[in-house]
Amino acid sequence: MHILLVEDDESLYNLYSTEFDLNGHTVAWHKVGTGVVDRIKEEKPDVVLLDIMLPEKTGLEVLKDIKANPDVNKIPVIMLTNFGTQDNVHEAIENGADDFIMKHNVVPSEIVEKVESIVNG
Amino acid sequence: MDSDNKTKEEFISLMVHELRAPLSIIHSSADILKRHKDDLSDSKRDQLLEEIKVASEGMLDIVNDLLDTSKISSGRFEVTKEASDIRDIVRGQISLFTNIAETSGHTFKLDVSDKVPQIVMLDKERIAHVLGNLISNAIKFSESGEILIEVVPFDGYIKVSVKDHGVGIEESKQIELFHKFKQVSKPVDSNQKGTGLGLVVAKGIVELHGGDIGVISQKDEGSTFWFTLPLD
Repeated sequence: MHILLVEDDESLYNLYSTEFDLNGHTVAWHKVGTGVVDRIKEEKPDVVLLDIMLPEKTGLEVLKDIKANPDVNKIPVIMLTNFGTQDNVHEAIENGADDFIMKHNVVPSEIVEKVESIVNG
Repeated sequence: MDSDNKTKEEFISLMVHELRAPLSIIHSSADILKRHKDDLSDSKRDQLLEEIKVASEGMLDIVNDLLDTSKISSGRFEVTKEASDIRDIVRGQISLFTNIAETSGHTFKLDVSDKVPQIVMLDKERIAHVLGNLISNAIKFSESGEILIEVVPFDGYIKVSVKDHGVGIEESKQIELFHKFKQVSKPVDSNQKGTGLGLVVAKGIVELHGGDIGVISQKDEGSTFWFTLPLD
């Protein structure tokens, strides 16, 4: 599986990419909220992990861009959220996000399991 | 809820978040190291250990700031003055932050007046902490550019100032900066974390030396944080 991780925290990228790699998957990293749709077209990921708090553009705005573009809107999007952003989670689900992960509540292996279960049905 | 309690609740929520993020990094790194101990390359293992080290240092800084803030509030905070050269402290801090500054596109300019005495009585470690906090903030709250550090004599005091070209601070918010439970601006890089306690501790340290601390700033036009220390 190929994953596009849209996340500005380098430590989280290091951890997630290590765990995905050890489970036979590949991760492309995009650090900002701008240019995500173009990056999806380029990478053709099986799933997008999208942080809500991003520089330049919020994850919710990016989600709307993805869902409004017929070239990329079938790709599952899982939102990564922080403690205390539950309101944003509801808005994300209403705007077409497939699921969400509270990133500081889980270890990367649990993220891999969740992503595999969503993508593989 | 009264405004004091609301402020305290927001502060506790901020602290929980600031501690939870690095704790999660430590937990996740340790989990990967344990479960994949036979599969990880040496470089990957080193990277995970470095993540644990950096995250735990960040947590330690927060806990130390909380402890210092508590001691300052209760009057139990102490400084130990000794004969010191402020130039050594300033150069030491610039050297400490040079790599971080280069990574974020900042440069340092140091301007020390010849009239600043060689020896001043101060707590070297604590004053280095104050200056380190101001330099760290200048990096966090400006995209890039020069950070000017000046040391000049000032009416029976020496005045140390750190000037950046960053986001600046609205006048109405400047007074809140040196008080507990406030971080009035968001760092330019959202990876940069902040509890807002650093300036509270800095104020406590400078005041125990008999000096003062403040800021001159305008929104979007950068900030100059300064502190003074008495010469006698």
